[in-house]
Amino acid sequence: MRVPVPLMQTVLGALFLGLWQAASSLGWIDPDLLPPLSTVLAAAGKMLADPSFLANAGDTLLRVAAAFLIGAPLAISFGLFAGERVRLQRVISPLFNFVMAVPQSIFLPIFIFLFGIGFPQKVIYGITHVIFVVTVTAMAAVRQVPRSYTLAARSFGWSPAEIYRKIYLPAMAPVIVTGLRLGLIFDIIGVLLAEMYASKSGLGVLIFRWGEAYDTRRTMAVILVVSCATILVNESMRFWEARVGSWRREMDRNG
Amino acid sequence: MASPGAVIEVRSLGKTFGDGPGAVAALEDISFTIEKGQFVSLVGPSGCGKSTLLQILAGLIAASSGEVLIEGSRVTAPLPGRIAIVFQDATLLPWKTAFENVTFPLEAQRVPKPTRQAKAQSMLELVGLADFAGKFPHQLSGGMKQRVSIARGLAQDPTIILMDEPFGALDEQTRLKMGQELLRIWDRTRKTIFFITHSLTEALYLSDVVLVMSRRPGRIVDRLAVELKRPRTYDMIGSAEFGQARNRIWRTITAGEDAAAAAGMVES
Repeated sequence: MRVPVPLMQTVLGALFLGLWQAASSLGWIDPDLLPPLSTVLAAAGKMLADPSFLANAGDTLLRVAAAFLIGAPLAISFGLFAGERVRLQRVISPLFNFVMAVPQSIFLPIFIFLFGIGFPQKVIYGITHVIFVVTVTAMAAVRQVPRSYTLAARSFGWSPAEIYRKIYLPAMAPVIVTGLRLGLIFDIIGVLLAEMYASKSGLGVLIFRWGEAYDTRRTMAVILVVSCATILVNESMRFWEARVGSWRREMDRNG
Repeated sequence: MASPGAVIEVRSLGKTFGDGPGAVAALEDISFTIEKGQFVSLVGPSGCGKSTLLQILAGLIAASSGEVLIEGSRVTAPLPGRIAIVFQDATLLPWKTAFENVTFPLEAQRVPKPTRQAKAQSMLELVGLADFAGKFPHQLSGGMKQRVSIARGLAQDPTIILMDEPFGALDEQTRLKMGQELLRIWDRTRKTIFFITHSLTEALYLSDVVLVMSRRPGRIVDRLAVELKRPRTYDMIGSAEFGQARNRIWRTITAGEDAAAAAGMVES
């Protein structure tokens, strides 16, 4: 009999966490380097009740949200605008590819020269992480709408505005949501990186500060909290993606 | 002046794509008329501009020269509710059920909701898919999708149905069955049908008139009135009469491909 996939996954996860706990509490690894899971969990629990930690988390959240709420609509509008214009796309696509090939992290010092280390710098840096991937997916989303759909819709008597709403939007939604999910993840990476590099507040700065101070217990606790939060964000976005794209997955499955 | 009885009248229609030295002539000097209730097929080699012609008739793209009259008035834009199109790949919206796909054009034409639903129901019944109303396109076979597409066309209660190689992607058996289905539906509804295909057999089996188009630039090189009596049966495909008509179209098409060789064949 085959072991069900979710069971295997649970066992693997439990094995990993158990190994962590054992390695550290049985002294296979120096507990100062890798504190046991139980200690890290206790530290994380304490942190979640600590107002100063929550204030830092709130700052990070605010920066991530601001960058996303500014960047994503800009990127989607531009992507839709460019998606229908073949020539414009021919001009900008290679430029986008060049920019996306370069690790954005190396530009961080430039952003600090230009914008300082406050809230605007973090948000602007976050926006640059959101904007490219969302633009590229929005352009792809427009391109993959079959022309026959719009021809048919015109013959039915729908107006151009209605065709946008009733054909383009639903046909593009699954691809755009995928872009938004990736954009949000990149956004979080950008903001945390900016915080770790130079900042007065935020989760990134806590990780950096406690890491520098060799406080492995608390460093691991923040890492654990951030990891859980981003996994949660990613999974919720994937759930949304699956909902708007259920017809698409079914189509792929059935050919 | 429009010819009396003509539902579709095409007058010296031409279509050129692009301009300058790169211009491509897709259609040249096309003229024909289709009368009310007729089933007319257009055959021709692939890439000869059949679909372009259909889209001009539908008002989806503009002609470069000449004109199209639908019931006496010139076509400049789509005529929803009067002309319905059945596309080659069915073009059902994948996020809508069969039923919603059929009501979708009616919604555009501001048909009241109860009427929309009643029409969709009866048209899905007519094409034999009443039990599949709630299914999504990906849950239907190729033949079923085309039937939904036909139901969608009929539900708009148009005068004219334009069909662009609707059965081209289906296997031979399904294709023949769909042809029979279409004739049954046509017999019931008596719509004017303009049917594009590259299958000579299909064209002859279904139509009152077969128009033959040449390779690009597409021109109408023959017009053949099909004398086979109705109702058409599968056996007719094997008859001498059918074979002769088929040969005539075949010669006309191949004549266009190679004028020199064809000259000998047509005379023989």
